[in-house]
Amino acid sequence: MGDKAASVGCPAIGVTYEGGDPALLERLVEVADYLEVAPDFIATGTGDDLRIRREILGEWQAAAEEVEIVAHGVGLSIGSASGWNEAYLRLVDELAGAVPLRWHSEHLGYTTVDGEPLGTMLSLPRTEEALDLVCERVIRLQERYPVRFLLENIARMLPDPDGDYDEAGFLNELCKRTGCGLVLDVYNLECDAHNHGLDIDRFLGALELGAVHELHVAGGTEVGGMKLDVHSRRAQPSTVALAARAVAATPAVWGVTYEVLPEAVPVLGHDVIVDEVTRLRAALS
Amino acid sequence: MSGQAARLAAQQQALLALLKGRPVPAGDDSYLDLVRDSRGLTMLQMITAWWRRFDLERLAPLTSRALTHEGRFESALTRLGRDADTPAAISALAMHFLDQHVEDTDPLIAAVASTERALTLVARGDRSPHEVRWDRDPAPVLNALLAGHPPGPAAPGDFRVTVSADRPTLIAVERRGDLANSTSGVRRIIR
Repeated sequence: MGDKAASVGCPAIGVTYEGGDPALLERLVEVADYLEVAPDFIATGTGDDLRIRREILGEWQAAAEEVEIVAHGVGLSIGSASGWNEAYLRLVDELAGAVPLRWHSEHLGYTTVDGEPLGTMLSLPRTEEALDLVCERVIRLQERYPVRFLLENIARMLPDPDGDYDEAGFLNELCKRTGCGLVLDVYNLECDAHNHGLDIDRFLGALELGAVHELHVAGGTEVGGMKLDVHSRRAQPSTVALAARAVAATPAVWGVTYEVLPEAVPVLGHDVIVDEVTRLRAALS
Repeated sequence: MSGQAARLAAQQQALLALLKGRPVPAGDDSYLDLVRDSRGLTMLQMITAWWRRFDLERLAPLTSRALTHEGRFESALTRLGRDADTPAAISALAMHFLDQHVEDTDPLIAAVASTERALTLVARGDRSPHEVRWDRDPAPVLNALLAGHPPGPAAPGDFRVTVSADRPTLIAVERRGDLANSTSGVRRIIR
């Protein structure tokens, strides 16, 4: 399938696709090994009455005959003290029942408080109580789905509260207690380094890299002196270089995903997205 | 809820209040003071407002533009950002926004929002016909909004807009006793 023949020795290369754009899909399956779908982005309805759009589900079923599929959610809100989003899990149930999934992943953060949307995603304090909460939920997810579950590091926008762990220590303990894997978003690491002074080398040196099964690469923007995780641009050379370093150091990584928001697709254009996937494969081979 | 989970819950509730610009319960929490004064909080508030504007301009363009021309879109966005019942899902946000304006005190805004709500429902697969009463000719208003222009003068009268998936043009305009031209240009906003 197209450029995929050149992928020996390279992790699988994936890209975001949210459906409804057959011309883009036709080109992506030629250059990508897998597609990433956010169940909440392909849903319709309101509140608890969310369903995956029929026509999109059919598109994914057809795509699954050519490439692998990973589900990567946004709306689970695994870190909400008041409870996670059951409606989101029903979407995953629906998707997993219709399309074979390589795995299911989510962000290590929260998007609702007492059922009210924040309008954004916030990171958790790295405390024992937050760890207990997330671990209990990860175990329930692993019991619910037969595929592996991964959690992703998110970019932190607010100041860091006092905690019981450093960045790597929290993730290490989470994986140790639950056996879950990690999605390492290297662009988010760059955001944290820029915005809060995260020492990426030290972080990678302390992280149990055997738990990392997927990397995310994206391009964002800088506003008001802050680097923002908006997935709206080409990946910067520094981000691709960091991904290459992480791949070299990570024994169990299976895939590297170029993430782009559906809203950015018309702005970037199909050519740029296909080019980013191809460029990523070349850089990681 | 255990004492530990209650502490996490209290912190999340306080951060929600800060994000939404609501009063935060008084307490001796230096972390919340740090957040309150942070550029990250300002940035998050700006980003969420920007996304809300972007989504509504994309998914409810007629009503967004009509409110903009009336000088009321900013206050509508502020209200959405403040209200606890504003949905997070984009598709739900657009319908919530339209629902808020179908009974607007301004008859023009109410008619535009009702028409756009009907178009959105039909675009989502609703097969039932929807009728909206207008107190002026809707065609020049809708076409001006579609072109991004202010809704100019329109002939007053008793008009009825019908939106139905069974109509070849999806939308038809009828004046009492007089079937006017279908505004086929409105099809462009159907997604």
